[in-house]
Amino acid sequence: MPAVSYTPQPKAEVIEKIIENDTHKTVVEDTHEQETSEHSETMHLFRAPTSDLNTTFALAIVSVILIQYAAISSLGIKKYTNKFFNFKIHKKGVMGVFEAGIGSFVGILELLSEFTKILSFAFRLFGNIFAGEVLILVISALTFSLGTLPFLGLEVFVGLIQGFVFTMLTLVFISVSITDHSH
Amino acid sequence: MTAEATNFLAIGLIMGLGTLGPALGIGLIGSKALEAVGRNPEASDKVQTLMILAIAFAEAIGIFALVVALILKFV
Repeated sequence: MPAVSYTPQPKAEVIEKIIENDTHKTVVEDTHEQETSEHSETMHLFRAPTSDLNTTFALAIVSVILIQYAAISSLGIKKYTNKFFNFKIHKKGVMGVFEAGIGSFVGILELLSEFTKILSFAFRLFGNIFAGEVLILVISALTFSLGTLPFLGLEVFVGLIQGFVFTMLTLVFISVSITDHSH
Repeated sequence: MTAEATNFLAIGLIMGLGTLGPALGIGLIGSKALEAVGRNPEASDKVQTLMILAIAFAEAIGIFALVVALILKFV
């Protein structure tokens, strides 16, 4: 997937420029601008891990694999694959063929939605946390140093809500996937 | 119009138009949930959980717009 290789490098530079004189940045820095030595790496110890898309992608993949595992272990492999590939004709005549066509298309959409779950899980968490960081960045550029404090509290609350949402969505998807849809 | 100006215009339009729908949706979800709690206050725990779930779904659309805007801005 191309989105995995996305690295928010320019953002880190912008943040560095803004908080260059701040004390809470943990930097192992070389005075020269050479990138050859390993001393020129910067480490942000106080950045949220989920503000990197790779972390949220990993979490989302674990979640979706768990959903598929729950579905297979409770439905069985046959019913599980029938949910996605259902080409059987139940009625005779033109309407039966028509309904089978609709059913197979719905199955393909269902298969696609399993992959969209990964994307939506990953982007939801990443977007919320990263947007919070950008918000704190903008506020810290607008106000004095203590002015960001209420927004830090807001971001803690947003993180709490997003953790709850991630858990609840995984639970809801599991409970949807283990119910038998076939008649 | 230069390419850079078009880029900035696109970022602004994406965030403006892309958050319009989710904002309306979240407002509607919140108002309906409050109506439901007002009508049946005992079910407020259940309604609150479902409301937060529905808000997360609506919010995801806005977050997609945000991610696209961030990619246009920073990558």
